[in-house]
Amino acid sequence: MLLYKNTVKATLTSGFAELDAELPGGGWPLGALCELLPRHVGIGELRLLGPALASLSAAGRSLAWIAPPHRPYAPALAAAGIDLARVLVVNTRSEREAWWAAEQALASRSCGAVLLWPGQLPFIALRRLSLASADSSALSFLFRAPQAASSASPAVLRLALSACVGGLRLDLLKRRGAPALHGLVLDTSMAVERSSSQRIQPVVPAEVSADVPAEAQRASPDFSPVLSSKRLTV
Amino acid sequence: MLWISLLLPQLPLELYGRGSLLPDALNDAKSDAKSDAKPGAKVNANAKALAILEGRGADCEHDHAFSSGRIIACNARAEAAGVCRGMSSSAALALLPELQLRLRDRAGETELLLNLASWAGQFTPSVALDFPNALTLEVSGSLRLFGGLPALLSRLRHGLAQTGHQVWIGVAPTPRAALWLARQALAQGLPAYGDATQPSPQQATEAALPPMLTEQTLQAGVAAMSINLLQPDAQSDAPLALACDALRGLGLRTLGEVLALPRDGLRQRFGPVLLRELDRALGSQPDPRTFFVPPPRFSASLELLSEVNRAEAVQFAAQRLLNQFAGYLAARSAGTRRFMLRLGHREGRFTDVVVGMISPARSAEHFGLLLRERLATLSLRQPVRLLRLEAEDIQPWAGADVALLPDSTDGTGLGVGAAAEAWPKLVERLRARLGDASVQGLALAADHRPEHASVTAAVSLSMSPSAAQKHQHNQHSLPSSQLHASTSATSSPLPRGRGERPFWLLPRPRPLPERNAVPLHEDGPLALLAGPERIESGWWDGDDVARDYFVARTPKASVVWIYRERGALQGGQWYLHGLFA
Repeated sequence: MLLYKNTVKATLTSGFAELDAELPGGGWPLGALCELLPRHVGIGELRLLGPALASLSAAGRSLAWIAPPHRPYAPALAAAGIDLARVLVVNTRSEREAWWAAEQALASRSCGAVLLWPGQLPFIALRRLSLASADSSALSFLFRAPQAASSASPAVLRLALSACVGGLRLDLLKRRGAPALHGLVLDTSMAVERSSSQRIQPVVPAEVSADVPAEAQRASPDFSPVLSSKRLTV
Repeated sequence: MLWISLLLPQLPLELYGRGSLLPDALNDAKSDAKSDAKPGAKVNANAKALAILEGRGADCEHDHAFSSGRIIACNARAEAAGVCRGMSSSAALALLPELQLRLRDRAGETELLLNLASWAGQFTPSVALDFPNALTLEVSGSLRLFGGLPALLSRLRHGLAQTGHQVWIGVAPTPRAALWLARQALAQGLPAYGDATQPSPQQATEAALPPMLTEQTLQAGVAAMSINLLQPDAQSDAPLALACDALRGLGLRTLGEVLALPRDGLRQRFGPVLLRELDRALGSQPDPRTFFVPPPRFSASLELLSEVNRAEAVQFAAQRLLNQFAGYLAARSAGTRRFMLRLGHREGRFTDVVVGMISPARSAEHFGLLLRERLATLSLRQPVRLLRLEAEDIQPWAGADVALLPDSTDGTGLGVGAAAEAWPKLVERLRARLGDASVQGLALAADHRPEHASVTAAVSLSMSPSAAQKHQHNQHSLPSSQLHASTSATSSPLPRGRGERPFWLLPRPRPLPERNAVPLHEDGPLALLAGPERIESGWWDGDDVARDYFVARTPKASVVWIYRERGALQGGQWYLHGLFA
């Protein structure tokens, strides 16, 4: 009985039905370390977490962003439904400080999610984080370089992320239970990506002002990407 | 009425010795396990031998007292070498050349006793001072709160061990009897209550109780006490001491024998004082006490036996003060947001370490953790010889609401209530180590310029859904269920009036080269997906922007946010401003 309880912990739905079907327990594991290995920055790794972070923040749980590579941008987080009052951004001077901060955040058991960009992570630090995570009930994500896939890790879930046509390709390098045989593609694309089948040609400002009066553009901040793409395509 | 008397006979010694990093307990436990020597005389090889001197009468001046003074207290290490009370300083130094001598500091002892009274206020509001070295607590009203007398005594013992004091305890229905009982325990050579240096089998159990008298045994207990307990300081010329001498001269040994004498004769011979003392001890006369009121500010100091330049040693000594401080806060049912530890160096110089908190706190453990982070980043230029803890910002403690029903765990394993308590502590801890500016919250600002629309904010401490979030919902007229429960964040409609915004914004826009009117990313030419979104704003504060924003895809399928400066006729420079992660 106890053994069973230990192996299947609570999960939180990822917000993507296809992904939930592949994850043991039907969602992101709580109180267990997860690694995300995006091939490049900006392919949709945060959009993947958006629904889970939004539901945690709505439940009043805090989200710690530790040593993020850039400034998290408040309007985008708000648009993803994340309560900004629950967001804690921790900037650190060194990798070591970042690991320490993540361990503290996990050990305090007060965070709903801990996102860490750890840099070069030695195995000992990884192991410490994994233990701290197991003691907590938080969603804990490490964002690591794709090269880390070849090294061993105590994380219970490892996902390699790469961009592909129509969204984000996920390869489950490691999960609890049976290994995944094939990757899956999630539609994390933004509305603008789907709606713009055609490329937009950049136009010089003079032409824009000839087409639409500058006053009108200033007066109406409303912006519809579909509309403007039609209007501007020559 | 139930009185607990705390007798602190080692106060002159503890004034200097309690800050030493090598507590006797630590080393003695080890040596005990090895040799199992006689439990009475513990010798700690690492502890420094220390003795306190006191001059007599006019010799109290500094230089003179060192040569002519007599030893009034010494620690176990000195005692093992043969130093004892009443010895002259030269004789003691002949026995033990490395003996450290200190002059008795009566003012310091009084301050320490007052601080301990503040500390003891956490157990009962009725703390009376018995100068020079005892506290008497009336605890009948607190027994229920602390779960009975044994539980209360165990807490007292634990707390006193943490503040670094040896205490002898007596429990009785009257304050005087309690004090005499404690003196009796000391005189009989019983080990200090809960003293870890005396790990005899009886003491090892938590249930070990100090000597105790009840209403029924009070009469017999007092009758069996020795006369000497009335006034242990034999040199005193108070009327009581003179009476004691006279009684001893009559051949009386116990108080019972004194009580058996005719009262009228006693009153005539020794005055009213002796009878009053005895009647008060037996409870047949009232014994009114003035209770101690904690001061509005906290200030306590600790002189170190030797100069210290390691952070752990400072931390250890500071923890003694922090424990006292926590007791003081509990006694006043208050918390603090800021305290200052002053590290005293030679020549009256100080290094001040200020620890601030974002919400009032009162736990010694939490203070200790914060202080450790501060001390870890501090480099001491000079060794420390004195610690002083000061706190002025004492605030009423709001207390935490306790739910009637067990905490709801919302499926995440931990109650929201418990998380709400741990949250400010986490933020404080991170701030103590990383600096205040490194730990920030996020907020929206009403500005069209992208770099001004996201600002750092104070970290929110409440755990309820914020007003900002509710406001945002209203603004977008989206039911929250739609925002949160949507299967994909992108399926919710874009906020009106805005294009997509990237998760990462570069702190400074990065210029992009251009080829054939197509901007080039480091990976190759960019494909524009959406745009332009024109943003012109900010002419009023000198940070004027006029830009056309585009969403673009790199050849490696990352999606980025770029803009082109407006103004020039042929199109301005391209910039990379954000990453859609």
